[in-house]
Amino acid sequence: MASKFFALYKKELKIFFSLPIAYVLLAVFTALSGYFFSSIADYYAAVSLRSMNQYNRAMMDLNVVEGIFRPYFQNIVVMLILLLPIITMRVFAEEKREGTSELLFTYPVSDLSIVAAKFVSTLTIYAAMLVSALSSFIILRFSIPFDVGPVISGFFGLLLLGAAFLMMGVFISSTTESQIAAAAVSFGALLLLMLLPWAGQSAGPFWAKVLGNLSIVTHFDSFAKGVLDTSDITYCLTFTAIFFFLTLRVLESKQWRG
Amino acid sequence: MIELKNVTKRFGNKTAVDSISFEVKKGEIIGFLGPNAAGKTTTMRIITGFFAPTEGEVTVAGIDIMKEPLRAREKTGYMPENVPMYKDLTVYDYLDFIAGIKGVANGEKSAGIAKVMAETGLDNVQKTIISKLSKGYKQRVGLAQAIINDPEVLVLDEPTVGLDPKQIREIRDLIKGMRGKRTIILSTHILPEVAMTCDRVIVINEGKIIAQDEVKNLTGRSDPGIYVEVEAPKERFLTEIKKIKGIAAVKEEAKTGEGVYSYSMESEDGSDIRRELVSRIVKNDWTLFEMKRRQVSLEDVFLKLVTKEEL
Repeated sequence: MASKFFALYKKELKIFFSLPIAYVLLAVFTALSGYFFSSIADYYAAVSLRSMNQYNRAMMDLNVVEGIFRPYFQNIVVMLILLLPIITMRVFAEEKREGTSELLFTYPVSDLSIVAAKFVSTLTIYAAMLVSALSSFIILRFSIPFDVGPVISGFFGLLLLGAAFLMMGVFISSTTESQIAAAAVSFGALLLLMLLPWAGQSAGPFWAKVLGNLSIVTHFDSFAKGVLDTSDITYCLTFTAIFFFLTLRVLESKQWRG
Repeated sequence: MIELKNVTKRFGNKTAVDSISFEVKKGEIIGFLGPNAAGKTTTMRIITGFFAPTEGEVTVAGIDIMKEPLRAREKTGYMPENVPMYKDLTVYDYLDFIAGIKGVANGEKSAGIAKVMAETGLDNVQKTIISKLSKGYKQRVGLAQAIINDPEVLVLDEPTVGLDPKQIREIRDLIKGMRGKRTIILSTHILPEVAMTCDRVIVINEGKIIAQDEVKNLTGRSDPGIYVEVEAPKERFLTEIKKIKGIAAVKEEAKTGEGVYSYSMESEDGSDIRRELVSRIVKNDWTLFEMKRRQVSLEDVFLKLVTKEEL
């Protein structure tokens, strides 16, 4: 069981890293996240310098978490919405288009192992992206001292949020043969999840609360502020579990449809 | 080794396979024949567990494929039509993956891969990326992945389609080489292939089995008749021929030259009338250009079976 999962997992990564898209994706993410970090940090430096001069340390509440980390993490989330569908689009759609799913589903391996291996492999690629983002913080730590707690909670949040995004993308990929369609639908769905609170605001206070709580991005905000809240963790894990289950159902139904 | 009992598969209102039953004994090679869209691929997909049957029961090596799908799949090797593969991997990496997913133990993996590569002649391409291989080699990789866990049952969907004659022969030899060791079902619409490689034939049309028998029984059912081409005055030849004892029918086929005609004839009970025929031709001083006893080809049988008008 475990060795079959590992064989699948290894294959997924081997194929992904044999494709040029893997390197383009990592390069784009590293470049953009680095740019965001340095421009936000620059801005923060300028603002804090000015506030020290003009108000004589009157703005003590200005801190790196609010000034750098939170806006940075929010920028990363927007990038994830654009980039993660590129990781997930091929996982099942390509197997179906190429016909390899016919063999895959006749091997002595459970659907559970297949979905888990596909999901964990996309999570691994995403983790590699996060490691590149972490380097910005390490560099900053050399110049100014800051508490690493909020950074850890921020990255933990990014991992959970990304896992939810990826699992939804894997599910969408399992429903189609077209990689482009999978990417477009995943992108649209993630964008909608982000925009839900805005839609809620125009629909009255009740809907604002409901839609705001449904939005996965709202739940991320506490991580970005350096807070680890169980309800947010539960939300992300539930979101991931639901799409994991739905993907299993899609695979199961394959046996009965044409 | 493989047993299907009243297996039906419907897609919506369309019935792809209609209550078919058959059994394949251990070590047999079965040819699965039928026109396109007859239900061959669907049946194979059911045996391999890709599709679940709507009704009926399938056992592979005594294991019910619906009750214990993973155990049944361990006993089965499958090569689908057009041999889908992960084309971005090298041959070795691909086979390594397949060995892993089929549960070949880590310690036996490299030896197992080396063995199937030797068996299918892939040694010299093991580091080549699959998408760069020729069709014939891809087919071999397809066969290699099917047999890597040494399965008892092998299901091959159109294993020689799209290959050149030399490659076809190589793949056929590989299959024939497994005779007795593995139970094989192969589908094809190349009829001579069945005659050459298979022990028994199952003919399927519109989702139903319309014949199953050994190849020689199918082709030996009716008397094939005799074909002659002879230089002789037509009327005199026909009168002379009708005197032969046991002749049933003579039919003029064509005029093949100046004064040369070809005929086909059948004897009443399938008895050999060639000796008598030749002696009459010689006696009349006619010239015999050609004579042959016709073979009923599997093609004739097949066409007769699947063409409705003739039934």
